Amino acid sequence: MKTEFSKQLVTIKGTKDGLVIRLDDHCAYADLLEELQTKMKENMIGEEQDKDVHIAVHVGTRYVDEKQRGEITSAIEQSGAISVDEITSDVITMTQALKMKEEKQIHSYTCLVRSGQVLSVKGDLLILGDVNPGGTIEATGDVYVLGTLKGKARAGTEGDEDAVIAASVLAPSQLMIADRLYLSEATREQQESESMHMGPRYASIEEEKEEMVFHNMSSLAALRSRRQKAID
Amino acid sequence: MGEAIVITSGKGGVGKTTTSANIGTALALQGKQVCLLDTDIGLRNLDVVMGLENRIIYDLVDVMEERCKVQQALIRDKRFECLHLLPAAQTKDKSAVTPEQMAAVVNELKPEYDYLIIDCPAGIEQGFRNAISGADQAIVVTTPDTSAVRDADRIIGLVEQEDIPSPKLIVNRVRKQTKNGEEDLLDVDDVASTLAIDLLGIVFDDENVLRAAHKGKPVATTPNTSSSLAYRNIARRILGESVPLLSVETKKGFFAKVKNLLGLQA
Repeated sequence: MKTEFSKQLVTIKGTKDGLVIRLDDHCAYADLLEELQTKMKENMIGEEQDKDVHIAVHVGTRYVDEKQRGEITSAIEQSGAISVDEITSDVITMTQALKMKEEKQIHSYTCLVRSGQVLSVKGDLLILGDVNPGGTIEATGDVYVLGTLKGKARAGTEGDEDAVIAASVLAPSQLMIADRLYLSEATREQQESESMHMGPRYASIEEEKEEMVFHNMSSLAALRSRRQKAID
Repeated sequence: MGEAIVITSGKGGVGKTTTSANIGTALALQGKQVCLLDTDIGLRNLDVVMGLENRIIYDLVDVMEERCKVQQALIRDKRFECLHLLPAAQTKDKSAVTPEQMAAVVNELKPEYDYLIIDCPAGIEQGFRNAISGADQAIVVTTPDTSAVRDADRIIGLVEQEDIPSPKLIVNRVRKQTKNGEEDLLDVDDVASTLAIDLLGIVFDDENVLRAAHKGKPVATTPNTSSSLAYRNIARRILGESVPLLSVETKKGFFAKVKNLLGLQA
């Protein structure tokens, strides 16, 4: 039951980025959905749209789960002329927050990863020690090894192509960043003696060539700031 | 109460049995009560290397299945009163025993001896699990080639998961440097730094070892070969003495490097 008619649960606003629907975050969800449905029906019926209107939805400090997101989207899109770009909320669940925290963290291990051992983390991985041939390390973010990397390393296991693999002595048997694979062609001896003199290096995916390249650590800062700019 | 030391390697043919026989003999030479335990059920060799195969009546599986007492299965060495051998069964395989049974036998023998040397079969399966179950310490044997080192690395990883101290390393069949610049095998210090465990000793490639094994007489009993000296030195290190490593003759600076390595852990 709506006591105050003047207080609207659904407001549509035009901003410089386009139309935004703001949904009240204090009322019951059922009331909100009902008003949204009627409002969209009233406003849209009979209107001829030339092109699709894209709209963003903001739900304030209300948590909406996947099912509710679907309901909101279908309520708005019922007229057919509008499509919902995104539904943003100011709150997330504890599980999401912990996952996010884990993914942003550097997990550091002081150990020697031996043949047959697998070390896998979410987030960035820092190893203080060597990775011997036959050992495997994996991270969803970057991989850093303060020691000799002779085994296998995988960075960006969930598809992050910007991830890098860095090591004091980079002499891997196999590297993988996102889904890009690098197999060492050199013989073991060649590789070990060469990379011993190279000093710390990192591997990343070269955007133009779409293949893995090795660089000195000094150019990592430049790469990072270039990518940061590209995001901004 | 004695100490049970398991000799393992992962890869076959690097010299586990030879090392077990010679360390056992060398410890007996020092006057210690020693029992050798062959856990390579189905492929026993330790009795052959010790020259005791004709004396076997009962074996490890007989003891575990209670067909005899453990004292009945023990064989006394021809040369040393204080050196005994518990042979493995030849007619069964590794699945005939469990880690619990093995630990029980080891614990039964431990009070009677100063050292129990357990010869582990190759591989990382049941046989390895059995051999490691009663051990207080582990020694990993490797040769200076890539595949043996790779397997040693794997086995060290598995030993480290057990409730025993970090294993010690023996590099077997090291060749003395003949010509300068000839590097067909890995350096001992490369091996030691890759595996990153304490180096207990190095044993040179020596045909006397094969000759002695053929005669059923461990090389550690011969007085003047480089390998017998190496095994006796290893035994002294197990007893807690600090003995420098033998030198690889020609290459300059090598000895200093290895000694340095040892000095780090002392």
